[in-house]
Amino acid sequence: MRVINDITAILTGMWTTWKHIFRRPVTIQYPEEKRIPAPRFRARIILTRDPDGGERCVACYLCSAACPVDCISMQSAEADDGRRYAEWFRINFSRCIFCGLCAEACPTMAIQMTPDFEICKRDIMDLVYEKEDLLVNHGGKDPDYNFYRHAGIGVTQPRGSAATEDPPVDVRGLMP
Amino acid sequence: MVTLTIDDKQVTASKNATIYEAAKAAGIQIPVICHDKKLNPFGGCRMCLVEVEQMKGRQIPACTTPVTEGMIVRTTTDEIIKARKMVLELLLLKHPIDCPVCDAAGDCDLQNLTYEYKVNTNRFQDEKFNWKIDYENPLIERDMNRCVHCGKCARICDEIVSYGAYSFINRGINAKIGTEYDGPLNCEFCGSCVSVCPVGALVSRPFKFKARWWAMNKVKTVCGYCGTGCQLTLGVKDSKVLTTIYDENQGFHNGQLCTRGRWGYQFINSDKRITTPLVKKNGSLQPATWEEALNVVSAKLKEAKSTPDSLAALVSPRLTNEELLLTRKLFKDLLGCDNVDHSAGYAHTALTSGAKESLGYPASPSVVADVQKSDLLLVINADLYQTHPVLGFEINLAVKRQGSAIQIVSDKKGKLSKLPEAKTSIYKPGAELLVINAIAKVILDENLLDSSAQSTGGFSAWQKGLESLSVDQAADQCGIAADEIKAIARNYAKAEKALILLPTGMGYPGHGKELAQAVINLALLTGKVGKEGSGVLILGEKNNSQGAADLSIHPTSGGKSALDIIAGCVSGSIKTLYVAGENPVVSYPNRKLVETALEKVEFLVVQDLFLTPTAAMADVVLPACSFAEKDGTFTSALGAVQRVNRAINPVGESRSDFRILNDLYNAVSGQPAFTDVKAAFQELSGTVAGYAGLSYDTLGDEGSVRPVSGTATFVPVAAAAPATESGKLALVTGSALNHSGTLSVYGEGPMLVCPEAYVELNREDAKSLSISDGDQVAIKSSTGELRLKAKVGSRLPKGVVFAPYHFADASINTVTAGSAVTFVTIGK
Repeated sequence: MRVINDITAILTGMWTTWKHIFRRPVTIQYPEEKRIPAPRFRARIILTRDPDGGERCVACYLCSAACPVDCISMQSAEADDGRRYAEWFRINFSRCIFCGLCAEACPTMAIQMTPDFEICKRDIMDLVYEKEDLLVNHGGKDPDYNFYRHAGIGVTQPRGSAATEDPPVDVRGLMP
Repeated sequence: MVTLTIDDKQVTASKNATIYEAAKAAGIQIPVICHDKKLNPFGGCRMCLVEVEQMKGRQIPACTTPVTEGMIVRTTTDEIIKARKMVLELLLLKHPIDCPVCDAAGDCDLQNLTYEYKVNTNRFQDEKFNWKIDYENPLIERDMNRCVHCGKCARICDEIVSYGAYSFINRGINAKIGTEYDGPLNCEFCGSCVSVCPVGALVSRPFKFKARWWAMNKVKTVCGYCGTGCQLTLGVKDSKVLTTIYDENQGFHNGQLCTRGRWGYQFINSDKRITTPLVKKNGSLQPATWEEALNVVSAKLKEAKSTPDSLAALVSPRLTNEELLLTRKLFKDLLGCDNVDHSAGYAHTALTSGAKESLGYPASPSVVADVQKSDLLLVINADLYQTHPVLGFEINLAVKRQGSAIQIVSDKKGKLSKLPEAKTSIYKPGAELLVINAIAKVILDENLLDSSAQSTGGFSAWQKGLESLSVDQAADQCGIAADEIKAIARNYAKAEKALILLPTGMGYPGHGKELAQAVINLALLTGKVGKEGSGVLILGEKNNSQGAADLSIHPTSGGKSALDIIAGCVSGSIKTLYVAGENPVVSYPNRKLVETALEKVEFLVVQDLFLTPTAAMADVVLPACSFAEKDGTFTSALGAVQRVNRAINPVGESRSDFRILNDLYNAVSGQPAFTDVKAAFQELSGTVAGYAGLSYDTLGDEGSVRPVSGTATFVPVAAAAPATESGKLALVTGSALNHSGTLSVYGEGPMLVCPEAYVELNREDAKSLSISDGDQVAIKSSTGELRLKAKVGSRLPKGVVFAPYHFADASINTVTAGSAVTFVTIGK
């Protein structure tokens, strides 16, 4: 009876094999063939710009604080117009685990994840991206957002004229 | 004590406590924004609202309401949380939501509370403030748009610092914290306002955007400037000291710091630090390896062992106790050389011979807690505020909060003279000894002395010494009216608790042995030594001056004192000079003489952080570490032995003084003196009086006040009439508020406020010499000539000029030669 059992087992296995031979394959021939990842796929990180073209990143250090593997570092500085910006900004992609916590922490929507997952390099040091490598010329997923329009400070517009503010009132003018 | 119930918990509190304090002691946190434990209750922010059952459940502020017996308090009901949310919403109505670009984010009370109370939206909407940001001073940035009107900055500046730079101005919606005429801030820049600001309205400019609060390591240590011994928290990132951090629970001063403690830290990571040993080759200093440098030095030391008299060492009292002990072991015990001294010799005699002979121990009989318990503070020289600013804050508190009377006897007015009802008596420069003796004489004449005085040793001899003194004549000579001297004497003798404060230092050659003995005599005469709130505080200038006095880092068996060592170098009897941390070229009297001495000495080793003018003349320069790079202990002028903790790695190839000296000891004797700092402290506690029973590990963060004991005796002190020279101005030296020794000039903060040497003149003198503020003037004495910037004010009496001693370029010791007063002529 062992012989019958063995033959049944082989036939069952071969049945699955033959079934799949005539199906459409699920694998693709990467890298000749490429699949488009979902828009919210978490891969290479970028630094975006606000609708006016200014750097969104204010170097608040929240991404580097949120980063579980400590792969983000920066130095903040102040521009003449009062804008806070990153003097240098560095992400070590050889260490990054693409968890997306930095993008979640970012209060200005500057740091965003893109679906570009192909970041292999021959030299590991090439995976350390500087600000020039990270900065892009668009607003990413939320192109209309500008932090300075909501912050209540007068960097991109005079105080009191932002989205959620009332224009200044001359209190003395209310006197009878 | 009263018993009350807070959140169903039985709490016992003192009857003076507020609900907030009682809750805090019981471990219940009530949120506050406008409250600080150092300040009087204000009740401005309404965050601390609690419900009290006896008050019909009304919401009352916990920080201003005193506890009563049987009170039933609830701190977190739904109603209260609703009210607190409303408070936050109202605060956020005007406060910009610019946390990402605000430097306070992470260390902001408003941010933390908004997060804690989940204030995610605001029911209200309004325009934000539109005040101009004050960028005009170098240290404090004032952005009044972020201000939440807690008033802490104005209150700390008034209550503790007693400067009053800030006040609420305008009314209603226009109200804000303003300065003098709403102009740019221009104050003494102690930075207390920055430390208490709950939001980012006041931020430190040197630290702005350097790092976030959470990214820094906080290392508790002790300030390395003056002798007050303030505890300090350093903010460290990437082995760099970036800032000092306020911790209201630190030390007797509750985290309060002065301008140099708070802003003077940059010297630690200064670019000017020496990073490699330097050895003189072909007439110039060349970088060398440690091995090479130490070999050169140890060979010279071995050579000197046979002729110890030709060797001498000048050691800075900025070193730790362990390093000073090691110096003593190396030079005194191993090499048999007693020519070891510090602080130009004269700046420590008040303690090491004055107090030692009069009291039996080289220290003050009083401690810092006595300041606030005293009825009368007798301050000798108003410069106390400049030499020990945080002790000045304690005096401010004693006078303004405890109602102590303050009498200043000084050669010039100072900030302390501006305290409420402060009495200032101005004597002629150099007459301090005569004034003290005259006060003692009045007490004797009017029989106001304490019954214990006559039984104290040496009384009759001392009394005899004073017999010839006539108060009227003394009054004439010293420039204070006889009635005024009598009034001071009566007030002092009659005060139940009276404390004499005497600052010492390299800038005060007159504050030596005799003056210390005179004030101790005065305290003994009125029975004020050994009582709480009474006694004498003799304040060493540097961070470990008291430690150096305790460890006898001065000639003890006939060796040469510092000034004799300099003279010995000139005459050629000293052939090898080891200078550790001292900068005699700038700080010792008579610069020209010191320079000649250092040129003449055959072999000069300098161990320092910077290439000071002294180090530049050396044959070997050994790079040492700052206080932030080493472990050890400092003993404050107030008697506390406190731990210094290593915050960063040594800069460059520099090594701690302990390691350098230990290596040299090893090279000379064949084995190191100690295995580590801890072993050194153990030996210290076994050999130095007062340190017995202390252990390095149990000192902890708080430190420990070491006890003193000895037998007090009267020591006769003769006082001569102060010298005068007609037609000349009397130059007195001293400390500037922003500086300490010659170290702070390497710190960015102090140099932004007080960047160069100056000479301070009275308005009348300036007018008669037709000098105006900021002019360059020439100062000429019999010793030398110097050009300095003039600063005209009304602090000094007519005929007296003042100059600080810290600055290497144009150092005042070019014209002074170590006497208490130097007579100079000033011209353009």
